[in-house]
Amino acid sequence: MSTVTEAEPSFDRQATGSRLDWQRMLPWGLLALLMAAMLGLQSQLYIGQERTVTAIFMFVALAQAWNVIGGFTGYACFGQVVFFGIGGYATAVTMVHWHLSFWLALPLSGVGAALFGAVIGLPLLRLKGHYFAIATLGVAEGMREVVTNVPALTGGGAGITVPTVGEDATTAYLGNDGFYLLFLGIAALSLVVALVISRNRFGFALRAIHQDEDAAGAMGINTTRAKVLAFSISGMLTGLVGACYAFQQVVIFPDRLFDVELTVLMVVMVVIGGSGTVLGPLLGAVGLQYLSEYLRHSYTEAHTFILGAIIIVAVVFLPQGFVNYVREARRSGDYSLLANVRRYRL
Amino acid sequence: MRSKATATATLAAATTAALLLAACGSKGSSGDSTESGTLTLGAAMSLTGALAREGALTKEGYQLCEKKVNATGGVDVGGDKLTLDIKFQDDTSEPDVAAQLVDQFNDDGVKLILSSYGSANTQSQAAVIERNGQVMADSAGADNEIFAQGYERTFAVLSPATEYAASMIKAIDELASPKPETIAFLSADDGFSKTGAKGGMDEAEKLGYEVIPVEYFPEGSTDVSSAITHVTSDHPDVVIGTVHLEEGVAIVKQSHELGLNPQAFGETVAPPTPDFAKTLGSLAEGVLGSSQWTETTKGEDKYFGTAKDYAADIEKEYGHPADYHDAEASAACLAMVLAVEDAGSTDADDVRDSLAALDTESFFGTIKFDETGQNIYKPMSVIQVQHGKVVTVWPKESAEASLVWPGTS
Repeated sequence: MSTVTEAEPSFDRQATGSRLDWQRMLPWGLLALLMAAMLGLQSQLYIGQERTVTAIFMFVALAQAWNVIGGFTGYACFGQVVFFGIGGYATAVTMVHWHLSFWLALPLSGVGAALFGAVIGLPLLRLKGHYFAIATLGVAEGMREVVTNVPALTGGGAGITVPTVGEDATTAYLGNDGFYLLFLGIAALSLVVALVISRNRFGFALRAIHQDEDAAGAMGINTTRAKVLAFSISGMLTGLVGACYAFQQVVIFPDRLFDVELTVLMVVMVVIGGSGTVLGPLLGAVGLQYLSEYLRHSYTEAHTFILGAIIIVAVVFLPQGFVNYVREARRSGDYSLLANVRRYRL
Repeated sequence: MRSKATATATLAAATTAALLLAACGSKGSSGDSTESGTLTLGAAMSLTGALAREGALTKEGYQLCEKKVNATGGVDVGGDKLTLDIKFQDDTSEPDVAAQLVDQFNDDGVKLILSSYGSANTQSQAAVIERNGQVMADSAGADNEIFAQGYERTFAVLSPATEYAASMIKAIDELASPKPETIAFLSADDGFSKTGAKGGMDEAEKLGYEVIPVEYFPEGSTDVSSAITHVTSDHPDVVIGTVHLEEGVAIVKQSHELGLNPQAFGETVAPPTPDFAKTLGSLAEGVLGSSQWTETTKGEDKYFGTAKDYAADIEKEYGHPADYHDAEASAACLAMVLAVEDAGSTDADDVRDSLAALDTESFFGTIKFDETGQNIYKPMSVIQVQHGKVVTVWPKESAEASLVWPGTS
């Protein structure tokens, strides 16, 4: 008997250990599977569908980037589009004026956006809640004005054309196939970053800041460093997306590159999917962008109205986001949406 | 933990499945989705967003074209009468969406496209049109930049952006007495406005006027006082604004407040709009404007008749006076229909060649394209606000009234 009782815990430990390994590896396996599926999907898409799915990849990356600062850290950045604009204009300006290849301009744009995030993050991340949201919104609007008012460099309101044909073209235009792969790569990168953050000490520090910043500081977390780093990473990912977008669009204008609507979309995708999770922003971006495309195609005149109504209903019934709702419902066994609404006292 | 992993796996699989279901086809386009006996045109319109108002007028123009063509039995293609069917999609006033929709039309086998509203949207669409081998009739993208890219499959029925201010300079030069000596230019900083200002300055210099360097302000500004202050000290005889409605209103109003009182104001786009005179009241009196089309435009065609007939049709169909946005949209649709008829085919390459060779008179004036795809053969009209109404004063052959000069009291 004693042998058996000793052997059992040993067996359990082994089983638990292998289960933990399996669980640790599962998201990576799923991510690899998803990427393989997306690569396979490409050969099955028409040109227009390919472009539509490319736009979905773009929003997956943007939503995941916002999730790093807004979801994990709990700092609702309403000026996230500033990084998108900086990335886009950094690429356009370096390709036009410095004749850089896109493949050099792309990382430079990411680094530029990350540095900008660090510089403005130091003062702005001392603000909290609405004050932080409004301050970041102001930065984005201000940057749009700056870009508009230096026409010699940025083309101003008339826009700037990334050279893609002729002698000035430093990098050949990638076409729909190329941009599909490029945005898929950026989306994959953003998912990898979010997965890593969600499981390491840095990610736990961000979650601690989200829950109680003072307590996190008391526990020995350097909150300023963690927040600024999160803001920079978020900015870098958004900047990379902006850089790819600028090259894809060829002609870019400040109004679109610094369009607050893009920030709102990122926020809505993360909130509906489930902020502070890896899966939530992915599902939010795919679901919302797919729904938006479907409605636009089916209800040409009323699609924005219907989409708005669906978003309102989703936020009312699932205020914690889809993924968090499923988690809580599985734990409690209560799937009632009304109970969920009551739980969040809406 | 197991339940979490299972949920994760299920959701990821669902995501993959949803994306896979979204795409049941193969690379390229799905083939011709146009029904037999139908000529399908694709139109990505700005039905929501910042350009929704102009987009709605453009849609009216396309719809009236569809109705008039079908009322005559349809498009005559090699003896067969095809019903004209325009598929509308909303580009939400965003250039990237406008371009994406052109790709989607291509997927559906729709190769003949009518443009969206505005130069930015049209510019994005033109690049995709070229790549996909589609053909586009451009109704509202006037910026010369679109046609400097070497594209061979985009054809604009409207006069280029350079003509907007240049036509007013020509009208003043021909009709004003005493002739002004100095002309100042104020411009919004978007591509269309800047190109318009350059065209006006080139024309003014060519005709021997002293040109005061252009002052720019951000597109959409309602405060243009800084630009006005800069030109006030030069005491210009004429102030030309290459602007949109809100900036155009601001220029006249703030010039009055800041003591800038030239012999006349001239503005692109804004004065022909009914809101301009309504907003400014007596201050709008005498302001010159340029328009792609007026009810007195010379020309006639088999579908719309004369410009006056066209205006009556718009009034009857939509209950408001005809706007040039309506007219240029109908003209683009007309150009496409005539090109298909001339080609005797709906094949994109044949229609492209037919558009390139098109040379016809219409309710919109001459429709004919140069080698870049611009319609440089149609003169623009110059209008003036007189007693609260917009009247055509130039060119002389279509003038409804004489130019009142000086335009300001």
